[in-house]
Amino acid sequence: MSDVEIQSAVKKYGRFTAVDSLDLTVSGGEFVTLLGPSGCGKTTTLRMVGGFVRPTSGRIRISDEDVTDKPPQKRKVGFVFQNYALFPHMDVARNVGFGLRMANRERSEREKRVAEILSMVRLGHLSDRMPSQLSGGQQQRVALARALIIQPSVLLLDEPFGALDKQLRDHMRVELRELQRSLGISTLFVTHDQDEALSMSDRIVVMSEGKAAQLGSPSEIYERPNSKFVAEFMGHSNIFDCLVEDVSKDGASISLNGVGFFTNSPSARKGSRMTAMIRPENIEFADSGEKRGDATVAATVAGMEYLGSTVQVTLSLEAGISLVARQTNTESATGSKLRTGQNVAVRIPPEAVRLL
Amino acid sequence: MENEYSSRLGYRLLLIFTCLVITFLIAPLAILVVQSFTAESYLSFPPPSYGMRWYADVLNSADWQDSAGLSLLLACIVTPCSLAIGTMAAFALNRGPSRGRRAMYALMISPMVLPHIVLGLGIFRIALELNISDTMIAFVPAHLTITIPFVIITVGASLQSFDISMEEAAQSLGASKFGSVWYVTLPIIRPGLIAGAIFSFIISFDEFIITFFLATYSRTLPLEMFSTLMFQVKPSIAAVSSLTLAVTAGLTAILMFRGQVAGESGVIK
Ligand SMILES: Nc1ncnc2c1ncn2[C@@H]1O[C@H](COP(=O)(O)OP(=O)(O)OP(=O)(O)O)[C@@H](O)[C@H]1O
Ligand SMILES: [Mg+2]
Repeated sequence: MSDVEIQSAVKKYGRFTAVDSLDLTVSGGEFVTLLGPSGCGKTTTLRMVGGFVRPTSGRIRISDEDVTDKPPQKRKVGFVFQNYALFPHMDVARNVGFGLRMANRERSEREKRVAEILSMVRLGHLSDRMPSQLSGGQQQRVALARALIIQPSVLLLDEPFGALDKQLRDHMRVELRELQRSLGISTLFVTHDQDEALSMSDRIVVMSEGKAAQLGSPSEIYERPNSKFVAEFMGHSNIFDCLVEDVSKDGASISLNGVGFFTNSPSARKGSRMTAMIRPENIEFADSGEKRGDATVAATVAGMEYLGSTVQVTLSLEAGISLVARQTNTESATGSKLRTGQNVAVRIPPEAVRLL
Repeated sequence: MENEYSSRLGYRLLLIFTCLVITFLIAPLAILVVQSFTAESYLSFPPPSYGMRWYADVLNSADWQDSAGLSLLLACIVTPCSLAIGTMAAFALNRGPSRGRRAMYALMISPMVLPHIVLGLGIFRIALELNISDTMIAFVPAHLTITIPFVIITVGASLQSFDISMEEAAQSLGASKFGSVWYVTLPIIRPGLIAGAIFSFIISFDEFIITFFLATYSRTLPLEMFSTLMFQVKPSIAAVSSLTLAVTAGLTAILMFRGQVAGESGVIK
């Protein structure tokens, strides 16, 4: 039993393909995020599920029923629009009760359900306000309540936090996720913000040019990106072309412009050119007293960037390689006490180097 | 509005110029209205004595009553038809295929700028062919040709600023396509609808040229005024003009006032 099933959906605008044979299943109260850069087809995908865009080919199924040819009003989806799309001429209660009114529910039942859902989103006291008299976060919650009151089989949200400031956005993330969990409603969420996707999702679909570039849990996507595109999009800063020099059973040695590294990444093929990714938080600074062993390389601190809880160190290696390392900003961390221009030895453990 | 950069001289010149324009526009009307209150049997300015006798005369005259009645009836039929057709046209222009949209728009509002004599002549020819001239069946569509463009413009402007995702939201909440327009779109674009209706009413009520072509025995208010003038210039014409002016000005005032109110409450953005 799946709540939403997108089966090789394609959407073409003229000769331009906005969504290219996308497959995705969301079920069992899962929170799935469509993540990708602007124009990659996230909104188009969501609107195909909502019934506002008809796929050029492929099928859309909701609650195991083929709805590809059904209009939005027959789909029972809760859609939250980026700009909320609240009805400006109706107060909060009438906005939220709209779906029940369309379903011809009795007034008494409507009032009861509206009151229930408004208290669930903590807006009970604002039920007779007009949308223009609400703050951004309150409007957001009204939009959510309005979508949820029809008890949809799936909740669709298109960048719902786009218009909120950072603090409120972080707060709403948690709030939405808690509400979604308590209702156990399958959710398809669209964002172009990696942090938002990583913190909220059960699964993430990274999209690129209308295709799913990678599908997986947040940790899979972040730690094991399957392509340079995904790695770069997830904010990894150390991505290099490299040559695989030798492969043994414990790993492989690779060379970046002549500088050797060791990796235990399983995908190495001897003699091939591949993309290597080195995660900034895994780079270690060898204590000055420590002997320079095989695993350490000499570097110069080219720049320090203070980020509050972490410090980002830009290292300059031989052969013109520039590497970014991130250190937790604690008393004991060596990296946080460096100065620009200082020579250091850095250790890059084999598990920090990934071949894509 | 005065700001730091506007020279005081320029500001004063603008003020004087504005007053001149207003005087130029208002003065003939003001003179007419003042004259309508004369107690004499001829028009003069200023009148030697004042009274309501010509208003009493007009309101008790069967000719004026009939013609005013016909004009009102016509305007009352034309207004809802104009609103319905114009609104549908505005939706079609707003939502239809984008190719040829501008040309279509220009075509549909062209009666606003075409010479009414030419329009009237054309409509008269058709009415003769169909043998319907001098009937409501000819008057109503004839008026519609010139009122509909105003509805297209006012409703079209409202639709332009209307966010279609609200309609989509309504549909995802179970409203039919028509339901989403009825419960969401129309209430939101109401200021545009009201403006279109008032324009339609005023224009139909005041219409002269095209109706002149079509009418043989029927007399709308403007036609009655015209034929009275041809015959003799009596103060009654000033009284009728003042009354017409009052109706038109009243409706226009509603229009301006509503626009402002709606704007303030944030219904139109
Ligand atoms: N109605 C349309 N006609 C033509 N092209 C369209 C239409 N709608 C979307 N597109 C194109 O399809 C592509 C995908 O659009 P979509 O809105 O799905 O992107 P998105 O991933 O949501 O981007 P964003 O993050 O900017 O919202 C874009 O290149 C866009 O220009
Ligand atoms: Mg989008």
